[in-house]
Amino acid sequence: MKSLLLALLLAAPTLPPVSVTLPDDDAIFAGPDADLLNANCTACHSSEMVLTQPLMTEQAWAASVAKMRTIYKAPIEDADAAALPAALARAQRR
Amino acid sequence: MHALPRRTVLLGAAALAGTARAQRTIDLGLPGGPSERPLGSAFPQKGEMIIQRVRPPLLETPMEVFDRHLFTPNDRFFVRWHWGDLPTAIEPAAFRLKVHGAVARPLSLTLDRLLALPRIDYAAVNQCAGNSRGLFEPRVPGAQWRHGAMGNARWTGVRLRDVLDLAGVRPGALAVRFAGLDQPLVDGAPDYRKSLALDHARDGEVMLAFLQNGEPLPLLNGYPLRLVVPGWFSTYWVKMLSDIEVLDRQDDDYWMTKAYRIPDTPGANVAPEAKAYPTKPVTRMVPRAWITSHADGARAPAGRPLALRGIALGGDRGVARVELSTDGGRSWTAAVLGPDEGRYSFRRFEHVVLAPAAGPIVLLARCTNQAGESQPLEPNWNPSGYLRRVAESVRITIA
Repeated sequence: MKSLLLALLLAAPTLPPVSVTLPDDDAIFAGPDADLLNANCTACHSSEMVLTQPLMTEQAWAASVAKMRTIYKAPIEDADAAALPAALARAQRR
Repeated sequence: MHALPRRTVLLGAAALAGTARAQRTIDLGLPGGPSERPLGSAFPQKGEMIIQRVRPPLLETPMEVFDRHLFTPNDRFFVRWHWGDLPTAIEPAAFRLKVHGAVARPLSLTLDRLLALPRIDYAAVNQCAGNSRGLFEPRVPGAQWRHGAMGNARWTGVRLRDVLDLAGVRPGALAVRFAGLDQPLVDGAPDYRKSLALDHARDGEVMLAFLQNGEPLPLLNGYPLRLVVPGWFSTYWVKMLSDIEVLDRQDDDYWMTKAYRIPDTPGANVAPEAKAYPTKPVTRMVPRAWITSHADGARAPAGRPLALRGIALGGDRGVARVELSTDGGRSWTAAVLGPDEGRYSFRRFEHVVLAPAAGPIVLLARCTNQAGESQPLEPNWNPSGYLRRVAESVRITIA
């Protein structure tokens, strides 16, 4: 079977055009901090990147927010960055 | 309809179209939780997967797949992307692989040209450096995988060495850096690039693969080309590979010097409170074994033989032996190994316990590779959750 596939590829050594559709990302943050979290987190990744984490302290979330800003260049305003650690800790405890 | 808030409309449309977050869930048994994840088949060219994150996709392979298949089917092969700007359409006729940097002849290669090079073929496990991170205690942030951020496939492709020779590596070159078509969504963020030392890149095994289990790669696994670095963690297996840069210096990029690093300590192990210790890039895999016939919490009938089976990985060497324990590690018995599909492949093992003791028992599997390297009974720990190597346990009840 494998050699047959290889023979077919040798006969027509091009790979086919591929076009796919990724599923809708339908989960957004809910609750009292939803606007803050959706505005600052979900542009780059869906909400479960936060909601699947083990329980993290505000301090640990502050380190994560700092990494997102300084290394991954997330455009987060200072005021939002100050509010995010507590909001993230609350979001994963709801 | 017009009065419905946007969220409801989205959920309604998703319910009709088959949402990424289906109704079925799986409990990954991660200590302290959260442990439940959706199962879904909404991703293109993918069957049922554990959905760790929709965007960018993190899809984990359920353990039952490893029980059924020594070679992980392409539509169940795990998926992990770093950046959200991920092409969803590839036109092979327009695709070019750039080879540049410290070379005599910079190249822009068509796929036809690449596929005309001599082909190689071997089996190799692709495993995320953070596979099983969700089992680290104390828990660490990151993708919260159980054991399914891995897969075994037969890869067919061309030697990286042959591609480098076409371009002519200049004397004094030290490393080769690889990048794919995916891009950060934010300006200034570090593009995902990884590098290998020149000697490793030219070892004749590192491959540019265009077939996975005899078929073109699923787009989410890197169509049309991905780097295959057998024996090393998948952080090096750059997907949608489009750029090869020969460096006449060490790579000082973020993804080599700051990310994907482990403590330079025995077993990549440090105490959770440790602060100052040297680090190095995570590179080669280590021996691991997983019992796949029984899940944690399973029950097996008393008074009947207990048939155990699973898969083992030698790391960057072949599997020499797998031992099983049914008493939490006090005594061990050699398992029977399945066919040898090559040093980088999974290898099956099985063992029948004739008269298992009644009550709760702790099963353990331990792999030793051809270099004599084995698995400890105590878990290692590091703050990134890399290179888990402990002999994994499964708790079942004989009743």
